[in-house]
Amino acid sequence: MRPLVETVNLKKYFSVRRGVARLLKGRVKYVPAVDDVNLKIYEGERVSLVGESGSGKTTLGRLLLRLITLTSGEIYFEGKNIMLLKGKELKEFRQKAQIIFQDPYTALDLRQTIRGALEEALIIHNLYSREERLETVIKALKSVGLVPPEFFLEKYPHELSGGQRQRAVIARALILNPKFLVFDEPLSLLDATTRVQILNMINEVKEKFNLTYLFITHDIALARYISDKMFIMYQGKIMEAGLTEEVLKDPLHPYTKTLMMAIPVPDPETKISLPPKVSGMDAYMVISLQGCRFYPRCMYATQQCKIETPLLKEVEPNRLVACWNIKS
Amino acid sequence: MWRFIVKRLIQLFFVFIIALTVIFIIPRLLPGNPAQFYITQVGTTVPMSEYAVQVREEIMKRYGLTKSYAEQFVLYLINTFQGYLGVSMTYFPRTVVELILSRLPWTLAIMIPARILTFLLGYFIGTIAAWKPGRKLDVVIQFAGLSTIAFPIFWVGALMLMVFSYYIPIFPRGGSLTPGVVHKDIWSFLVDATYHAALPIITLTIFSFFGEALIMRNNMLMVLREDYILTAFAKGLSERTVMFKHAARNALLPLVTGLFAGLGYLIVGSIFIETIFAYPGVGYLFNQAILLRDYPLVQGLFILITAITLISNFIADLLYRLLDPRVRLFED
Amino acid sequence: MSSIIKRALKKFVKYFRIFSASKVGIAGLIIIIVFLILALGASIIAPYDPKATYVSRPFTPPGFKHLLGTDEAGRDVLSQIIYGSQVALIVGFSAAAVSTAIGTLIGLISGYYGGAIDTVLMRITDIFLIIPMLPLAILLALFFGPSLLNIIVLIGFLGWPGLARQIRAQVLSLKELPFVEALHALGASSRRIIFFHLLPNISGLIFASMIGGSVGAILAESGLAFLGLSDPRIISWGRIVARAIGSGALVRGAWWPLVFPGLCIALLACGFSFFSHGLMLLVSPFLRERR
Repeated sequence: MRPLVETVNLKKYFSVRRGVARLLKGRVKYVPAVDDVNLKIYEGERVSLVGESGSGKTTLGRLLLRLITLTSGEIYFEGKNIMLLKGKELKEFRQKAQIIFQDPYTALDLRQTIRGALEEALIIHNLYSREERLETVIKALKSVGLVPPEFFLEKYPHELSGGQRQRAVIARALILNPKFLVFDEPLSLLDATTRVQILNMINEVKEKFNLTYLFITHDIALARYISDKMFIMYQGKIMEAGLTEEVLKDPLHPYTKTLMMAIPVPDPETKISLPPKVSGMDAYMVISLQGCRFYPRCMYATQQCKIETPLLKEVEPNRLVACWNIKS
Repeated sequence: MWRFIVKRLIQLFFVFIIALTVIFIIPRLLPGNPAQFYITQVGTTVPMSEYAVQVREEIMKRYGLTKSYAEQFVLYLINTFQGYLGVSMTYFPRTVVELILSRLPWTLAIMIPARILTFLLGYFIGTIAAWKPGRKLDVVIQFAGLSTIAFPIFWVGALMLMVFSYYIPIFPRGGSLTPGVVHKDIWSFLVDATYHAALPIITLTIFSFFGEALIMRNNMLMVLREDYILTAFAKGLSERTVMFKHAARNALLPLVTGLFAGLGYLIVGSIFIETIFAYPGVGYLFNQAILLRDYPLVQGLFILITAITLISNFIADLLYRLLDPRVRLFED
Repeated sequence: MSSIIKRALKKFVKYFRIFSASKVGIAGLIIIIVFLILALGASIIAPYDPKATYVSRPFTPPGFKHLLGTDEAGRDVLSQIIYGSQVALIVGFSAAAVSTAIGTLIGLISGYYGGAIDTVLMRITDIFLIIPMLPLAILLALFFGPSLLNIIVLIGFLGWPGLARQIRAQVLSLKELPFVEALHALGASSRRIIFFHLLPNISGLIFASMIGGSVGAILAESGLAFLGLSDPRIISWGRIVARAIGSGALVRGAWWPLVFPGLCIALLACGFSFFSHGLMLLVSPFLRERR
């Protein structure tokens, strides 16, 4: 079966460029945000992408929607290289793939009513007549739980609560009937109670619209409720991939294990045990392009890990891990 | 630092060339050749036919107006950089540069004192206004700072002249020296010149120091919010010491760099002030050149003012870099 | 349709409430309105024909017959001032409109597209910023002739660089917001994003700086007129002052043709300056941050 979304050796390096002169001198520093990523998402799959801040997960999400340019590699959507799309085909792609942002307040134009924002999506793609558009907008608002829709139609973003705004943003993405969605940490800026409501709403609409999506989050515990498959990302590289249930039950990569340990357990008796080497390190430390990215923080690191970059390989059926210490 | 200077100089040179290009192109966009254009314009204001022919020949020769535009342009640039800006039509056969140089000292004699006075008054009054924000002096400074920019400078000058030379005749009614008086020595000359320059200087100062004081006040208020000011008070230093030694010194920076950046405005202001006070500086010359449609002279004056503005901006930038250690940090 | 008008009205009332908190802004608005009435009703309000010479003796002091006296040719100063307000307002508004249009367009394009376009446009802007504007305006007015239209175009074409920089800075921060990215994801064209989304978001700033730009335009016009660079067919406040001084008003002790027109320039310029000050408070982020 052909995957809906596929990347081949996808790379995105951000240049830390300082002036034109530096460029000519060739003293340009690069930061790899996405480094050699190969992933496949099939139709109907709900995939989560887990990583800490700075891991490049947001960059990957934007690359998949062609919101930023790539450094090298290919991205395919329905078998077509999206970087080569033009004109009508590009517009079709724009209709089929949508994104939901972290901050719903800045994701909406503050000068536009909710109706205006939703209708604009239809106008851009020249869908429906005037009356039908209003109907479609009302239907979309209902489907994300903004009821009664008439109440929300003429509201401005600042007149809504955070949860309502995020619902509106989701409605705007859904109104085009997209085949593929990227959720970029849509819950992280909401407060706890709203978070659950939006989570439930997403679970409802995913059945109704038969959504395929990539859910980006830093919270590995959340992945359980939202996805069947998951990717673990660290400093631009996929470290582990597999079915969510299995990865959570039996994390193989040392990085996944540390992420698992960060999940609070609601039992005061349980002792927190952190591997000693993890403390005090973070993702922003110097990135070495040689060896395993996780090497400086890994308690199992060997000499090989320092020199050679491990490749993502299948160690069990449906389970991929990039680690020298995990043998199939 | 050196790289910055070189870069900035190249940039300024570029801007200067563009300004020159603009005033080269525009007369050539108009119908007829530039010399013809100048002459016909002169004909309408000053009837001087035997001059006209001479002027025309001089212009034709110096600018090679029979040659192609490209050659003319090169010739024009070479002339300009050699300090030849053509001959005046009203003061023929004196050259534009000669005329400007003879008038420049007078303009400097009112501009430099006005600039220094503006700076000092702005510094002191701004600091005192920031001392007690919301008090009378502060409100006055805020209001005056906002509204003096809306006053036409020629009007302020006319009012000053009217009040202090006509109704209360303490200052002369214009000019730079008492006419007909032969000065025995340098001192009597200086006294007479100062007496004549006083009112123009006062007017320029009044016109610009409120804005300067407002800048100083706003900077002071910003500095006063810093923690080290609180620390200085906590050490038990007197209010006066904290204000002038700690706060004002730090708030002064934009004013110091503005010392030069403001020169461009002053020279434009002096066009009006010198006209009002019939003060024979560069500004008065500019006004006469406009009234008599003396194109070469207007062009030359424009080039001079542009050059002064560019150079003073450059010095302002340089001072800013030298005085503010924070800027240098980003320099590498 | 009526609901749209109602909404617009409601919005206007809401913004006016915020604006009216600024006393300075209200004062500015009142000044502008008074001059606007004078300019529009000039033919009704003005007691004399402003160009009619020797209505009374030259330099007649202010009195019942001539509220603001007469000038060196016996023309009524009040009537000249009333007609002069037309020119001041026309030049103020239209020159500011020209420079606002240019500044907005350049700022939007430069900020939105970035890269080489931005570099080129900002270099041009820098050049315009650094060349002394009034002397250049004088030079160009001399070459092209000081007709009213030329003066407007000139002042307009020389006054945009500051605004272009401001708009560019605003656009740079706006375009980083996710809503612009969302619009890209929805397939919106650049033109749609620039004109339907970025432009409305900076409309307040544009309006306020257009009003602020009028101050510069009015002063520039009066300055040029004072130097003799104004359309001889029209009445300009700056020229009334210049003519009076030139024909010995000071020696004759005639302060009125000097003081009143200048006062009007200062008043109107202050009016615009205050009004824009009030508007800036309205559009400044501090006030708008109330989510």
